[in-house]
Amino acid sequence: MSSQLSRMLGTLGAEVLETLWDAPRPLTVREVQERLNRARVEPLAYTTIMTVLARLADRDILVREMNGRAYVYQPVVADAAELAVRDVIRDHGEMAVAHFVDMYSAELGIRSRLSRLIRDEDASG
Amino acid sequence: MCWSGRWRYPLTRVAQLTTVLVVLGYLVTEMSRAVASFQLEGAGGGSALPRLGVEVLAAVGIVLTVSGIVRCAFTLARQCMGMVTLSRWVAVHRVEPDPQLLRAGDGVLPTDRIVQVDSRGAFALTYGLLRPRVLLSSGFVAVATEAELAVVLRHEWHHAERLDPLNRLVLGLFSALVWYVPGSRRMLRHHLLCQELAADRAALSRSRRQVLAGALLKVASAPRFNAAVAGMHTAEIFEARVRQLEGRVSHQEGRQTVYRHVPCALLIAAGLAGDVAVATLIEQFCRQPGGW
Repeated sequence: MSSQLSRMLGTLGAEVLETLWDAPRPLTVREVQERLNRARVEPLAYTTIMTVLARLADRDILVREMNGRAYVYQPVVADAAELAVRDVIRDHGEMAVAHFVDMYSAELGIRSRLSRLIRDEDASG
Repeated sequence: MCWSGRWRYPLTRVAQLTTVLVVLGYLVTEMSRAVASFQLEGAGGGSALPRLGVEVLAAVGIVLTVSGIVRCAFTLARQCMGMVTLSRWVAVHRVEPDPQLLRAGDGVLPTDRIVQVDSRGAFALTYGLLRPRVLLSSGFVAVATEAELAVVLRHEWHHAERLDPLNRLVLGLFSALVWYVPGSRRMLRHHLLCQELAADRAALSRSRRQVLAGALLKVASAPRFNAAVAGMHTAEIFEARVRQLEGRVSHQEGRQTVYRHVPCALLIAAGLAGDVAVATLIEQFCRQPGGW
């Protein structure tokens, strides 16, 4: 685990985020708990994991979506470096920076429109 | 802190509405008083309405001006601190630019203005006030084609050439200074929109729409924030950029036309005039024998 990430999020926060990075899909609280407890002698409680995930979501590090009856969590940054630059810009200097696209995941409708633009130009040669 | 969190927008709106209500209340009271005086003049009586003194207006003006100056100073300090921290972060994470990135930037911008940082995330930005640099992450360089990298570099170089980060900072400081003037945030948002659309047009001058659409799609497809969380600016600007690519942006919408500048200039002038008036009022008050 990178010490930079631990400094930013605390040890458990960093562990949780790394678990989510390693996962191929968004995870529920229960799934994160199972993965974290695999290598632990003293297992972490469900509520502890839920609190950490909620805090990370409150800090806009994770996105939380309802999947069936449970929330699933997904990181919005790819690694500690991206998290660091995002935090710096958000906390201090968003005005003095021009983003190509600022931490935004376009909705499906807009993505379809972009895909259509690509296809149309392909078709027209 | 509540001011930087979810309460910031509602609190600002409440303060703006309060300002407008106080000024309107003052005007209405004074007008009512004038009408009442006029009607009662024949009977020899004065106005029955209490006089809302200019002191109330002056007190509100002082509070707003001081809060604007404090906010402006705080914003400036925050932004400067951010630039220093970002520069340090870049120094730590900087890697040699990928040969593909250098080929894409050949003829677009000077090589020494391209900065690549070691991160799996896909992002690109322009930073720096007087000598802006274009920063791309290794994650983005890895997934983008050379043509997409060129279009992104052209977009970002347009920002850098026009010192857009500095412009944004100056406008942001103005917005912070006259935060109580309704419409100051909208003015800032429109300015950002114009900058982004202009940068896209510059990028499209030597690339096809398809390439820019591909680059936008790659950056905006990563799991990030939806429109509700990312903020109105980001979602709105992104939507306008897609509309421009589709050829559906009106001529006026994305351009800094004169008629759009007039309300902005009036807002800034009104705010600054208010500040000057309050400063003059304080000075006059201090010079009075019974003043401070």
